[in-house]
Amino acid sequence: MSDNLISIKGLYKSFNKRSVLNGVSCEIKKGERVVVIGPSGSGKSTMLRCMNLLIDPTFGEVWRKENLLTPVDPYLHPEIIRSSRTFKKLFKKTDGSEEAALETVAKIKKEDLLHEKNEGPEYSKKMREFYKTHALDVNLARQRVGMVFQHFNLFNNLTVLENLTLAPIELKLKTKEEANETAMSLLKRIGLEDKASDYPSTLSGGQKQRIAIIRALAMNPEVILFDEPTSALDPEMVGEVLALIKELADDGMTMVIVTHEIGFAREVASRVLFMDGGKILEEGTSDEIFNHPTCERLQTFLSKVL
Amino acid sequence: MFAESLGYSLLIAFGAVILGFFIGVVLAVVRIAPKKNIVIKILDKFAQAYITIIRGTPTLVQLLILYNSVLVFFKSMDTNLLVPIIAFGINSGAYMAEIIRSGISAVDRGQMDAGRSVGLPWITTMRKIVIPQAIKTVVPALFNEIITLVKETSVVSVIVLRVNNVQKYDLLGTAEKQGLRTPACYLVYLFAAAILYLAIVLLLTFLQHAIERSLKKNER
Repeated sequence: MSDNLISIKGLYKSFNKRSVLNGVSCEIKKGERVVVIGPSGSGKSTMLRCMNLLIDPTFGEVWRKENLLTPVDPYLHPEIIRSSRTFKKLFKKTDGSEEAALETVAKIKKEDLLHEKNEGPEYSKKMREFYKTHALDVNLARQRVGMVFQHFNLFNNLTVLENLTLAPIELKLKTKEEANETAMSLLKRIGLEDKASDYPSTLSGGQKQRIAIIRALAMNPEVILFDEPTSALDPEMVGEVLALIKELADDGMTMVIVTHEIGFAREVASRVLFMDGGKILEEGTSDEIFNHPTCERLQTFLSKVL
Repeated sequence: MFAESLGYSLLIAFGAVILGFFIGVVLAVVRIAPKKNIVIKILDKFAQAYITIIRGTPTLVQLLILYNSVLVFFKSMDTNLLVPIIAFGINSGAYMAEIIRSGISAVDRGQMDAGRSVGLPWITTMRKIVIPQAIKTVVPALFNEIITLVKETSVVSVIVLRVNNVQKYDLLGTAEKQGLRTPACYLVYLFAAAILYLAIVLLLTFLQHAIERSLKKNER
């Protein structure tokens, strides 16, 4: 897993008993441009937000490189299951072969038999140790995972320049002068250096979103998550935002993009995920997904959007 | 004769506003914080109890309880201006907490998401992004509370204010003292006090509008 910038494993998420993610796993490798498509309510945004823990998954784990960001999910670790009392009790009844052990683990997973409090000291110790060796503070993990939102979410009480420099300065990654310098050169890159001292409310949607993108860039991210970056824009402003994202893609930035812009997805994606009902139903290159879809749900989806 | 007492009334009100605002912000943040660990849960229960008790009992009773507790524990104090400041501050804090909490809830959730997404801790995002925006939306309600508080300081006339062991009076206290001396003019003194309270409130209203205007300028 060494070249995975982000991995999610067996994610489940429910809001008030309504389940949104039903067991999603995927890895984001360095240099990949992963595009996530699917109908509304399919869990795309929820999955994306789980990747930097803006939403805590109900079950499952989120990893940032070698570090665990969520609590340990014992069902993902057979060796932890094997240390539990439940396993030992069930295993005693079998013939004791390795095969039987595997079956027991599978049964425990399937029937959700673990009860945190009754699994004995060995199990608790394993859980604790695993967490201790792998856990990383979420705030630290997020520093180099950029995120761009549907509604831009620029800080309304700060100027454009302060929007770009707040985090680097607050987190003591840069001095004020360095942060200002980086911010100005990023603004110059998108041709908005004259807006540095304006407040976000004076900008157009396209300008806001491009500034939101360079706000992510100001943290020197290893990967950027885009959550429907053009869905809230006037049609005439979609182009300028997509052009900037394309430019980053060409520079080799790793990105995960949730979008409804199928044409753009096709052009920029190195891998496409199709989601529905809280699951990844199909995964492949953009040629495979758009030109040779295999699952029926994807075929109907594409026939409606293309 | 009202000049000195006007000063004491203003001093008590000013001190109480500062203390109340501080308490209000802290309680509001505790109430709104995600209840992830036991410490926050306990603090939240405490904040709830605080707000319920303070809002549920009269200011006059609170002031008398604090004043008499101080008498019991410290016998006499040469200067006891802090007693009404703390009493009114504690009282106002409960109301300001609810006002600020409503302001925080009104700030778009996306602001917190954006702050967290660049790696800022929850409390930093609160301090730098959410609270400044929340305060902006609650300026009118906050001034309402400040104006109420200024007028409510007239309740201190029931206790004995002391500065360097000399008894002092607030605005209403002075009116009453003078009224006792010359009962024929009691009403005149009361009207004089009323006009001075009104003057303070008008000044505060003016200040409120100036602040609202300057905050709007930032937005456009």
